[in-house]
Amino acid sequence: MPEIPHDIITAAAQGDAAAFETIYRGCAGLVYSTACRIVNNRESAAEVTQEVFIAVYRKLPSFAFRSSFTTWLYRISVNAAINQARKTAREQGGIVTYDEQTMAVPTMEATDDALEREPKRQLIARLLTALNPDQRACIVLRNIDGLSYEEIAATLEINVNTVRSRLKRAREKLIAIRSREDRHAV
Amino acid sequence: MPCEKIQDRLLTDHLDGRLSKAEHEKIAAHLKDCATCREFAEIAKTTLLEPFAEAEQLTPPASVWQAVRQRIAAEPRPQASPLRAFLGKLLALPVARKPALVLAGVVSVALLTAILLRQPNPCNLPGVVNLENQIDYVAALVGEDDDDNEGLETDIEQYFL
Repeated sequence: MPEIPHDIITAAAQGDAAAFETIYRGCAGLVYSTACRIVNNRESAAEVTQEVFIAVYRKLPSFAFRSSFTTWLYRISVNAAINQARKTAREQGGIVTYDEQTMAVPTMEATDDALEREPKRQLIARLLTALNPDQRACIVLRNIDGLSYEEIAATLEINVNTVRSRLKRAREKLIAIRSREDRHAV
Repeated sequence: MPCEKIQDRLLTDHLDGRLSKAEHEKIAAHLKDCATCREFAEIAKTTLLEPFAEAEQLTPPASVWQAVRQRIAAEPRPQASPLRAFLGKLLALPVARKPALVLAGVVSVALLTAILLRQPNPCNLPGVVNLENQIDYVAALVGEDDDDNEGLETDIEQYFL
């Protein structure tokens, strides 16, 4: 988790544009990556990232340091991404599909390294698509971002047992998908 | 412990390294004897950990910051209340990040305040009370408290006047 110094947060809360840009530069990757994996679409993730930073700009004056800044930012980001994922699911009649084209296009030049990583990227996107947005958020926060159960609970404002049960159900689904894929491959 | 419970633990606390030493030993003993759960543990590890292990952080397109910058430029400047600004500065102090130091400081101030409040009032000290009694006694002897004595009656007053 990136740590932003308190004086930068305080300065940004008082309207210091340079301090706000420092926050953006330090946290945009985290917000965008998390959003990408929850909404499973780069274009939507870019929109979510934009909305998250506008919300942060508006809410910063009321940020009272009761939780860590990163937990607060995660909460805004994950909630925005889950809402976007639910909205997309509703629009598609409850079927969330893996947007292969948008997820498969690397942001940087297609170097050999990037091309080599692409199948792994697609595998992650395909696995996450099988989950509902709440389960997806738990898997992203735990397996990719490495948050503890307590940090996930604080971010999603749920209790630790709910985190555990969401992870369990999500992982049961992922195992079922992989074994089905393995059977088809044989 | 039945296999179903073991597999629940394998999918959560075991996979995430949250088991106590005793629980870990219990599960290890079960896995030693149960081929089904052993296979399940291996599948969980390869299916649930390995695909996500190398997930890299993505970079948002530059257009995102441009859009954010334009939108915040059009927004009214945020106004933090002076109290919040003060709180932010206070929390920025290195000492504020060490709860033990803060607690020790608070306890010290509380103790000091309690000690000062418990100090007796100097006016109530026994010595002072005695002194006041002695003054009253001397005054009584010289007749200072006598309301009828309006002055111009003593020898010394008559001498000076």
